[in-house]
Amino acid sequence: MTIHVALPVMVGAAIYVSWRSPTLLLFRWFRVAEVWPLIQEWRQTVAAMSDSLPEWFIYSIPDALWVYALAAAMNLIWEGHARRAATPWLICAVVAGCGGEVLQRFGGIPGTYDARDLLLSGCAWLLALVIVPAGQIPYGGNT
Amino acid sequence: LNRHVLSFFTLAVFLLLATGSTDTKNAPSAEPNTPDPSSRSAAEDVRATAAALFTSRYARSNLASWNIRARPAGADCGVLLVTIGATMDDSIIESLHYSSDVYEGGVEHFYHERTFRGVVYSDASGHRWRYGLVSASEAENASPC
Repeated sequence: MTIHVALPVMVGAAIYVSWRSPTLLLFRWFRVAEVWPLIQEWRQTVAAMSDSLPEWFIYSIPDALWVYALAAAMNLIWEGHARRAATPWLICAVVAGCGGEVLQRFGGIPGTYDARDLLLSGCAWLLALVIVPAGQIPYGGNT
Repeated sequence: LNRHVLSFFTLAVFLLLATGSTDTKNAPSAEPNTPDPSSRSAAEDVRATAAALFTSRYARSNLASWNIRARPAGADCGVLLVTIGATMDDSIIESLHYSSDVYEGGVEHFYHERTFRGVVYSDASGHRWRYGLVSASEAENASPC
């Protein structure tokens, strides 16, 4: 759980906190929690690194890590159970992760559609299905 | 059933986390003449990074003892707020703004190049100076965004 869920979430969150726009809702939460000065200090410390980081790392990897962690969490919750019991939740994970991007593509929600986000998130979802131990019984059995 | 409840709870927690990535500048109530939200967000990233680099550059300069720090400020994060940990006067601020000691072309060139619309200097006594497209009231109230 730590490696496949908590770690990706923490890495993604660290990227957001370090290099993403200060106008994100996340930063409003930090202001409410009165940790914004600390966060600002941290952002100033690591700001220079952003020049050497590729754009996809800052803008696409956090979303992919989020999808990976969610799919991994679902897989782990349903470990040892029939895959079909977990299937609706795994589909929820990919819809939650990639659905927003698809809606942005067709103007359903505000934001900028990026095929790279979609591709990386899709790959992250597949990766979680492949490498995270999940339903040991392909179909049927204990649900 | 317990696993379904746990799955639902997990999904809810992840969706809550995802709301943190919502850009508050994307609200439909934004002013009609504001630029495209996605380009604004990218510009703000550039400004935040530029301000941090500005701070780092001055911290390594011969003006380091003044503890000069910069942050994006204003409702649109379009103002470079420069705080100085010493008391300044008009001539020093003017020199800081126009001289090429730290940045070629001075802060005047820096803020234009990094898409800020103006600069506000604030010294240790709280006195403020403004340059560019910053009103007097905005300069007095400017705080980091």
